[in-house]
Amino acid sequence: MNLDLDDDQSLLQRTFRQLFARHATPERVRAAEPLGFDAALWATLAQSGVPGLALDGSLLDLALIAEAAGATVAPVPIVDALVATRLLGRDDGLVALAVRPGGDDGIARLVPAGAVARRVAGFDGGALVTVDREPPMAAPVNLGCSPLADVDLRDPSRSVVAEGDAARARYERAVDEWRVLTAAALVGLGATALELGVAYARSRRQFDAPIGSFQAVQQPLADVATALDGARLLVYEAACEETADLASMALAFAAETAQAAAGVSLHVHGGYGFMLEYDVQLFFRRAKAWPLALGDPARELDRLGDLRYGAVA
Amino acid sequence: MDFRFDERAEKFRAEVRAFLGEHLTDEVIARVHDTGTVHDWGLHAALAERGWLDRLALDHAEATVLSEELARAGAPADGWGTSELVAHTLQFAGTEQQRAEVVPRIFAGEILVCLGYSEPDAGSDVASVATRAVADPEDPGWWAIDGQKMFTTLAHESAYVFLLTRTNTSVPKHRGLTLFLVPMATPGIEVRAIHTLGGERTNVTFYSDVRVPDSCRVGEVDGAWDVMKVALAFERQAPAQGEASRMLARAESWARSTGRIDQPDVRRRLARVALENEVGKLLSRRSSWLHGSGRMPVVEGSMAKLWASESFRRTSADLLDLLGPEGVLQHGDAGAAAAGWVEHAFRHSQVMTIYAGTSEIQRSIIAERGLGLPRSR
Repeated sequence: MNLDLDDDQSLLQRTFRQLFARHATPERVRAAEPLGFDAALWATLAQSGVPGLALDGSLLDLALIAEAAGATVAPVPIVDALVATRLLGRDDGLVALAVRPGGDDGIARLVPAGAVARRVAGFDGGALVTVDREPPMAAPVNLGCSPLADVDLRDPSRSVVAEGDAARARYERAVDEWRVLTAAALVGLGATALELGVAYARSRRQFDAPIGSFQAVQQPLADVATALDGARLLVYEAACEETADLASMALAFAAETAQAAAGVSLHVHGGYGFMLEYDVQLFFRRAKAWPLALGDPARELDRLGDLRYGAVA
Repeated sequence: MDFRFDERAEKFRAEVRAFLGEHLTDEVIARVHDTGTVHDWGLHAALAERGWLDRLALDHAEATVLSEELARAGAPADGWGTSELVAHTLQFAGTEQQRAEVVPRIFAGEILVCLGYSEPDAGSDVASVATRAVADPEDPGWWAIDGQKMFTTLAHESAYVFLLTRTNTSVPKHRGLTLFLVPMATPGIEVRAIHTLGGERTNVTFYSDVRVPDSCRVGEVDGAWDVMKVALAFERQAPAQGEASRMLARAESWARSTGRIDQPDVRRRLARVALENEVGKLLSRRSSWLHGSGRMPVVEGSMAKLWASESFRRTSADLLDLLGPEGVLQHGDAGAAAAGWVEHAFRHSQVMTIYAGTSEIQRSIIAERGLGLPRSR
């Protein structure tokens, strides 16, 4: 057992933290709303090897990058692109992943990054496919300012990548990787939301004292800090082990923990936290919205039950 | 980064399991359950014989594996736990004589040491203890101790009590405390049993004109607080995560044997417990990993203890609901669901968020020392 990152991983983590801190400022995040896409930031990331580095990097490497992106709620679909790149085994630039299969009509609904990707990978009619289209560059108004769009997986541009059981297994593995990387992004998001709450509690004075000296304020922040450390360890374990049960655990727990972190932090801000002018709302909205791209996080527990106890006929 | 134990540690795990298969008999489990004394001299001696009682002397992976397996199997280890932490504290702050004479006997499994911290009016505010130790003016080099200690668990089996006393009332409370390692056979000590909701027996101990030589002192006169900071951190090292995984395994076999395992709500709730246990396991392993690699996990130890105990209280309550009416039947009744062990866990879990630092104390440590929030008290 070794719970320290190695030197290469520490360097990778530091590099991407600095990149996002510099380029994904709260001003840039706001400016990219409502679509939730900053093309200039994406171009900067491309210079740093995103998403092509997904082909060589370990899932833990990618989780560190996703965590750094989540920490600034960077308005780029980095999780989707990294996972889709690994799925297709080649660097096609910004590719989205339809994390839910196409419906009876072949349409994958509300695909994260669907509004900004030229190519979308998905699963439809027993096949792993890609479709190419002119991205709409507009999304329905949504809680997380995510670039969501419906994608027709039977578009004339459809190209079949693989079919049969192998195709299904590849797709399911990709969705599991999406779970792990989304969980990593949520841990980053939660950690920054906690920092905002702590900083506010240290500076805001009421009753002639910083509110952070009141136990009623301290204790929920301590619970959140504990859960975040647990979620981060769980994400790293899921990234190292690459098993379906840990992927579901990581997503379910990171989702609830990020929401708790952002919720507590918003509450600590009092009325100011409710104002759009304060940054905590950027984190609060996305904490809820990101995991919902796949569905109700409670269904991760149902899936975990199936994995542990066998599917019920 | 690697979350797996290496082959050597897994081999050691197999060795511990085989050991427990031999020494942790149904008879031992039954005796602990019936008497409430969470210690067994036979098992303790067998652990000593293997050289396992001093977990700091094992490599960190082995120490972690040993703790996990003992907790998972439900081995009675309360007496070991307090004795080991006193031994480690003595190694750090004890006299040469204490280190030479007492520590080896603890690790040889010959004696136990209980903790004399809490008092009727001193719980979380442990520095407010009122038990007095007064240097005898007539008899230089001797102290007279008077007072009362609460929750001196295993005092009735212990050779020593690690006693926190007040030696100075004219300085701030943290600066007027002195620790003693007092032989339980000293005249003037009385032990009375306290029975608890969880079934464990603990004690109240009384000290009336207990006379001890200065050689029993641990650390400086009025200097106990510096020693206590170390001792309290040792105490938070070992959250009982294994107990939660044992409870889950029992609830799962109940669900399988009753066919309830196929119901969606049952699966979802069991899965939830599995998730919480995984988080607890990771926080606990991180704490021991940091400790094993030479770092003092103060905040991380508090996090592990806080999560494990709060989660266990939450999940034992939910699993007891899941068992339904037969859940309330207790261990020993033939109709008890999961043999009454979830009902037992529900009762026992209530104290785990209290002893070794309440959840509120742990959160204060995390908030102030971890997050850098201003001191609240």
